[in-house]
This record gives sequence, C-alpha cells and structure tokens, in this order.
Amino acid sequence: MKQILYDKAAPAANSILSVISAFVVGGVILLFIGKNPFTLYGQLFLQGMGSSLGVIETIIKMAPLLMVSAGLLVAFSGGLWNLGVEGQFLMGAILTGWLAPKLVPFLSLPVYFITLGGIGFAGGMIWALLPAILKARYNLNEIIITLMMNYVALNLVTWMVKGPINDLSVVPAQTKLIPMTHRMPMIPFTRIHLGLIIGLIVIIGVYWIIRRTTMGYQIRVLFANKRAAIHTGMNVKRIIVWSLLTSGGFSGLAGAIDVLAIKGLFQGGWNPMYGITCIPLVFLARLNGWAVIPLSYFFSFLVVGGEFVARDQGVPVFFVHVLEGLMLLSFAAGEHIGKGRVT
Amino acid sequence: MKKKIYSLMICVLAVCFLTFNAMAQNPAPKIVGLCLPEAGTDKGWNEQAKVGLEKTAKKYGFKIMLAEALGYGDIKPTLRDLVKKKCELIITHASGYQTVSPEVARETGVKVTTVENHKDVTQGLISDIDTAPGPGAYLAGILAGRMTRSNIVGIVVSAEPPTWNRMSAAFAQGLKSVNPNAKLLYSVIGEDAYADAAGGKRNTEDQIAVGADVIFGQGDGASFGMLQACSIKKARDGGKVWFIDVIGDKRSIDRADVLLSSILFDFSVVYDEIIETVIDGTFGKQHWSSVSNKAIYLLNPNKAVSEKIKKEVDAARSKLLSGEVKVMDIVTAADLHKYLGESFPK
Amino acid sequence: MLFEEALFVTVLASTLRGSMPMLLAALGETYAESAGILNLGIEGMMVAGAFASFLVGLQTNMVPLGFLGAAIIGAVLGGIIGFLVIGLRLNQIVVGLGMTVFTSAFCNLLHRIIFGSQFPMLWGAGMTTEIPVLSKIPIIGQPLFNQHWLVYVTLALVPVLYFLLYRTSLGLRIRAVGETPWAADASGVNVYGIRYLTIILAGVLASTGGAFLAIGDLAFFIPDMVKGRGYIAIVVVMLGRWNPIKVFLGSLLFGFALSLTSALQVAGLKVSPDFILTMPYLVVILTLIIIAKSTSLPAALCVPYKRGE
Repeated sequence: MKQILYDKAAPAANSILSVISAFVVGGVILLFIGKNPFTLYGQLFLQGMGSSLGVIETIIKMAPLLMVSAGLLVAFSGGLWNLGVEGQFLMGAILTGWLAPKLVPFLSLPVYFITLGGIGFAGGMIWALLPAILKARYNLNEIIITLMMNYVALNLVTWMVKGPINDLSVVPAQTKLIPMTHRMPMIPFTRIHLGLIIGLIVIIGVYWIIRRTTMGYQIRVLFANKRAAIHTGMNVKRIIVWSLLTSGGFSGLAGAIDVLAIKGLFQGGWNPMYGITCIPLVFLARLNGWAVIPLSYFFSFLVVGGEFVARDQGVPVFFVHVLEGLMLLSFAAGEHIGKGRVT
Repeated sequence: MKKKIYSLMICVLAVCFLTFNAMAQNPAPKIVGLCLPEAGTDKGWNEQAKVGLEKTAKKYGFKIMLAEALGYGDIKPTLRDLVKKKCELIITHASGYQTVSPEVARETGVKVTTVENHKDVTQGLISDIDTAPGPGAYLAGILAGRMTRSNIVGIVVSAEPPTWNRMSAAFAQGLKSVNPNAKLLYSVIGEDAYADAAGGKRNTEDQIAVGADVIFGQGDGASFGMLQACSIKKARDGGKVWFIDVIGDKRSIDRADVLLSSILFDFSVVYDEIIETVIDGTFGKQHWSSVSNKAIYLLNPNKAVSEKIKKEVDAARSKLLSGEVKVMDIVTAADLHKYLGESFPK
Repeated sequence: MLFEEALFVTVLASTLRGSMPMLLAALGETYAESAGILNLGIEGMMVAGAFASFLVGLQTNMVPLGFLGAAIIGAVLGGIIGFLVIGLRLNQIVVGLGMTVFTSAFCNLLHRIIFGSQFPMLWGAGMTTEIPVLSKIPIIGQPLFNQHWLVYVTLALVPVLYFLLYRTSLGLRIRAVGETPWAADASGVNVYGIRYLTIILAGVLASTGGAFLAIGDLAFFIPDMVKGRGYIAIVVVMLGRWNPIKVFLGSLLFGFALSLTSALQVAGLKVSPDFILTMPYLVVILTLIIIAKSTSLPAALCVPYKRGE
C-alpha cells in the first residue's frame, strides 16, 4: 500500500520540484535584469491560476494542444517521426476556412460541424499522405519529408489565401468570415468552446486504442521491433500508412476547430506552430495520454499567465519563453530523478 | 405675459443646457492598450506604432499597456486581460486581429481600434485605421526614376501584405510617370520573411547584379540586409546603389551614404485623431494614415539629389494633394503582379 | 536572363555563402548523430552563436574575436546538452527542443536589454578575402575565390571531417558508439567521452554557423534571423546519411535552390513567387525520392547509454 502511494506521489513531487528549480533559474535571470522574481511569480500564479480569466483562457488554449498531441501520440507510439504537424494543421485550417462559409446556407448545424470536422481531418490526412506512402513503400526518412512538407504547406496556403480564395471585399489576405451563428458552440454556462471536450475525448480515446486494442498493440510492436512485426505476419505497411494519416488528421482537426472557434476565418501569416510545443510535451508525458492533459494545462498556463504578468511588470515578453524552455529542461530532469528512485 | 416670459426663459435655459451638454468634453482615456504581433523594436511596422502611441500618450497624458510579440493567432486572452486592467481603448495593430478584436469590443463594450477593417466600424465602439501609403511611394518612385542611371530599378519585399502591395504598385506608377522606359524588378524574399535579413541581402544582390541601381526595400528586419547589400555592392557603372527604405529612419546606421530616402510612417497623427474622437464623443470613424494628414511622408532626400529633382517631387506632391494625379490603390498580391506585368513588360 | 553572366556569378556566390550556416551546423550534427545523439538544440545554438559573435565583435570591434566568442558559447551549450543527455540520460528530444526555446528566447531578452530598439551594424564584418591568382579566373573566379575566409576554412574542413569519421580509428569508435554502444564499451571505447566530444563539436560548429550568418554574411543581429536554418541542417544531415561529403553536397544543393528562388524572380519567371519559394523544399523531397535510399538511423540514436544496462 505504501509503495503504491509512493508510486502515485512520486511523479507529482518530482513535477513540483522541477517547477521550483526552473523558477529558481528564471529568478536569477530576473534579478540579473533588475526585476523582483517573487512579485512576478506571485502575480503569475495569482493571475494565471487564481483568476477566472486566467483559468478560462488557459483551458481554452489547451484544446488545440490536446488534439495535436493526440496525433503525435499515434505516430510516436509507432516510432514514426511525424514532425509535420504544423503543415497538417495549416491544411486542415485553410480547408475549413475556405469551405465553411460556402456550407453555411446548405447544412443544418450538426451536419455542418461534423462535415467541417471531417474536412479538417481530411486536410491533415492529405498532407500526411506523401510521407506515409514514401515511408511505407520505400522506407524513406519521414523526418525529412514531414519537415519539408511544413514549408510547402506554408507556401501553398499563403498562395491560396493571397489569390484564389481571398475574400476581396476586405483589405487583408483572408477567407470569408464565418457568421457568429456558425461558430463552435460553447460548453453550456461557460465561454469555453466545445473543442476542449473534443480534445479530451480524442487524447484519451487515442491512448485507450493504443494501449487496449489489437490495432494499438500492432502500432506499439512496430515501435519495439519492426522485424518481429513483419515476422508475426502484421501488415506493417498498412499500419505505417494509417498511423501517419491518423496523426496528420488530428492536427488537421485542431486546425479546423481553431478556425471555427477562435479565428472565424483563415488568414495569411497565421501559423501558431503547435508542433514545437506539443512534441516535447508528448515525450515528457512518456507517450501517456493522461499525462499529456496536466502538462498541456501547465504550459498553457505559463504562456497565458506569463504574457499577463510580463506586461504588468515591464519584463520583456521573451522571458515567458525563457521560462518555458527552462520548464522543459527541468521537467526532463525531474523525470530522470523519478526514474532513479523508483527503479 | 409673465407665464410666457418664464416659459421662454425655461426654454432658453434648456437649450443652453443641452448645447452645453453636447459640447461638454469627455476626458481622454487614462489607459490605452496596444497589441502588436511582433516585438515593439522591429525597426518597422510594430515599432512605429509603439513610438507613435508613446508620442500621443505624452500629449494627452495617458498610460500605455503594451502587449507585444503576440503572433497572429489567438489574442483573446490578452484583449480580455487588457479590458480587465481597465484599458479604455485598445489598439490592435495588425490586420490579423480584425475579427477577434471587434468581437471582444461588442462583448465587453470597450473601444477598440482595428487595422484595415472598414466593415466593422461602429459609432462609439470600433474605429479603424487604414494606411494609404500610395502617394508616398509614388513620390519615391519619381525619385527613383530620376536617380537611376541604368534605368533599372528594383523592389524587394519580405512578404506581400496589403500595405506593401499598395506601396509597390504606387512606386511603380510613380516610376513610370517620369521614366516610362525604366525596367522594374520585383522580388519576394519569402512568406512572412520579415526577419530574413540574409534573404534580403541575397535578393538585393541579385537585382544589383542584373543592373538595378535603385532598390526600394520593404522588409522590417530584412531591410538591414538590403541596406547592407546596397552599401557593399557597386552598381554596374561603378557608382552607388541607392536604397529607398520604408517606415523607419535608418540614417544613423547608413555609413556608406546610400539611403536615398524613406517613406516614413508617423502613427501618432492618427492616434491623435482617434483620441480627439474619444474626447468629442464621435469615436468610431474610419481613419487614414496618408500623405495629406502627414502621417506618411518622405524623408528628406539624400543630399546627392539635385534641387531640380526635389522641386519635381514637391510639384508632384502638390498635384497628389490637389487630386490632379490619382494613385491607384492595388491591395492584393495577385492584382499587383498583374499590374507590374502590364506596366513593365519584360 | 538567368544565364546572363552577372546573375550566374551572383547565384554561384550566394549559393556558397548561403549554404555555409547550414553546412557548418550540419557537419557538427553529423558527428553528434553518428555517435547516437540527436541534437535538436542546434537551432538554439545557431541563434546563440549569431548573437554572441555580434556582441563580442561589437564590443571588441574585432570581427575574428566574434567567431571565437561564438565557438566558446557553442562549446558551452554543447557541454550543457551533453551533460543533460549523456550524464543524466534525459530525453534528447525534450532537452534539444527545450534548449532551443530557452536559448532563442534568452538571446532575444538580452538583445532587448542591451540594445533596446537600437540595431547597430558591425561595419567591417561580412568582408570577403580574395585569393590572388584563382580569383582572376573568368566567371567562376570571383564567386568561388572571393569569399569570406570562413568559407575556405569550412570547405577545407569537409574532407578532413570525412577522413576523420570514415578513415581513422577515432571515427570508427564514434560510429561504433552510435550503433552498438555496449559493444563499443566492451571493447574499451570510452562511450561517454566520445559522445561528449561529438556534442561539443556539434555545438562549436553550429554556433560558428550562426556566427557566419550574423557577422560573416551579414553585419548585424536581429531576433529570429536564424529562422529554421538549424532544422534544415538536421534534414541535410539525414539526406547526406551521416557522410560529411554528402552532407556538403546536400547543403550546397539546398543553398543553390535557395539562391535560385531569388534569381528566378529577378530573371522574370512568370510564376507566382509563392511557388518559386517552395522550390528548395521540393528539391529536398525530390532528391530523397530520386536517391531512394531507405534510411536506417544510427541504431543507438536517441538512446541514452548506461553502463551495465
């Protein structure tokens, strides 16, 4: 019993230790630039976790992170390096931004949302198709192709939004605005959009599939030992293709939901780069879907609350990212200490 | 009779009271928020807004809450925080914010000012600033057309946002007006390559290599690379390559003396206008940064520019202001490419 | 017009110059990955190198000292990453990306505090050195033999690093550490020592690459100027399959495609710039498909080594 309690408590204790150590290093930097770390950190928690504004905005920010992480979970569990989530996100987002206003008059709301979710998902899948086929058929390095596809996607969407799908009735390069009635609905009695619920379902669902189903088992075998996977008669190629496609699909879905819930359209120059946030989170969570949730909450809190207080305290906003980097490093270190104790 | 006099007096008083009330001024806002997509020290679009608002703040005595480097994504948290911290006016200085910020304004009732967003302008709630840099660029085009020796002029841009498309098109028009035989080159460094200084240098060098000796560069941080290329490369005839800059003033670092001029943006002019509308209660207008209200002006040309050319530029300015000459307003990249292709056939 | 001599010469020169930051970083990364370390901190190291070189160069007014400063910072960052992923055996991806986020933001922070909105130029940087006789060769003389001195050094480094990795016993040991660390350890190779060596080398070279961008090609530092060149370097390493010669060719190819994006626009190609700008990335994908070599990453890449495990 004691052991079980210890096992449960150890990760939490380590996380707290990690947070503290990152704050200490960040505090030294703050002192160096002549700011009081105690005021800043105090305010960070007060405004980021202690105010309804901070909490709500943090939670809203989690939705895309959860969906992108779910996609990464699929790929990474199979040892497939999908580093193309930015491109997949953009494709999902632009297809949604382009098609949503066209669908508004024709579909009833539920059908409309399901269709657009499907379109976003498909957009992400299309963008993962080339790396998936090349990986499965010719075993070509998916790191290279997915990374390059990000740049190609950026060029493509910028061209589209500056040219063929540009809404010419407004000045900037953007698609037609989706009417407020056709935006993502809110969770009742809140102003948090339903994307959060979808994100939670997706990440837990994906994790459950990977851990508990045959398909998930096959993905994991692929990671552990590809040769063994082939010997056991698994259709390795099909698993590779579908893992990467699904992975891209969830990034595309995140794009669709960001357009429907936050932006209301697709705009040139918009590229939120969720990949660079989510990739380390998924590894920090050790490919555990449940662990992704508190981690993405914490890092959203850092970004949202950090921006609030940096502005108040006159600290350049770059400090928020300094702190974010330190957190990643110290979380990684905390995990190591945890490993050392338990085993 | 007495009754009549009384009622007349009451009427007069009432009228006086009403007029007085209407003329009563609202106080200037005490806290103004400014949202910038990039760092407020980018020597370009963002910095000019920050500097401009600081100037206005000094004049009207309000405090600025600066939210910088926000990116182009979801700025709702920042907007709500600015509302919570009692900003009475929020200026969202990116066309990318034009859907989110009116939504927050309608939700919270706090005044916002957007950029390049004509359709949401609402009395008492949403005002907008659009930029008409065309005339400034037109004058720069005249300068370029007169200063080029090779008859080849280049435009280098780090992206294709509306402001820069407008300037590129008007520059081309100005160039053509004085020098119809000139050749015009046009290069894009990359998608949102505002900070790609190496790319700016590379593109500029390529244009110089094929003979350009006046470069019109629009790049924010990337402009430094263009300036460097103009400083170290010689034109084909062995002379200087002139550089025309936008938004900021780089004279302090122009050691090679190649800066021909710059189209400067002074946002404090429109910010003053906006604060005035807050004070007189007419907030919610479409404002323009333009040459006519001196929010956009040409930096005094390099001393190498002869008096004759300066006079020609001044004359053109008067013609623009009087409406005798019209500058085309080309906003989208697609239209710009078409226009450049037609006006300067290869 | 593309074949006009003047443009051809500039393209050649900018190909070489533009591929240098990637090439330097990629050469170091080749060693780190060969020894089993995937260094995603490379982007941050380049930013730090760019900033440090500029700062040192500006303070001392001596450009070469800037490069020295960048190399030292690179070695320190390499050492820190080494300690975290070799000594503490932390996850290499988290550490690498964490370091990139941290160093880039830290450099931006320092830049803001030191310079505010000032962007001084380091005049005297970005100067080329002409090699006497060779630079007089028609057409190719100027672009190839009138470059920054670091270009010559880097070009000379390519065969040296190739020889070292594939023809010496040290190279053999490095590759053994990346493939089968336990076997290497058993045969008396100092696995930790080799890995530290390669990650520090990777740091030095990546930071020097960043420095080349700031004070070799250009003459100033602006935040975000590195803009993903570190990730391109990682791609180039994998495209070149951990062979310094091929990595060199890969960098050159990417640099050439990048130069073409501007040259083609100047030459008046009637295609939307957005498509021209896509070319370098499509070229990489196509190259990978054409050489169609399946990649097997070094077996122990990303796997921490612990004696006796």
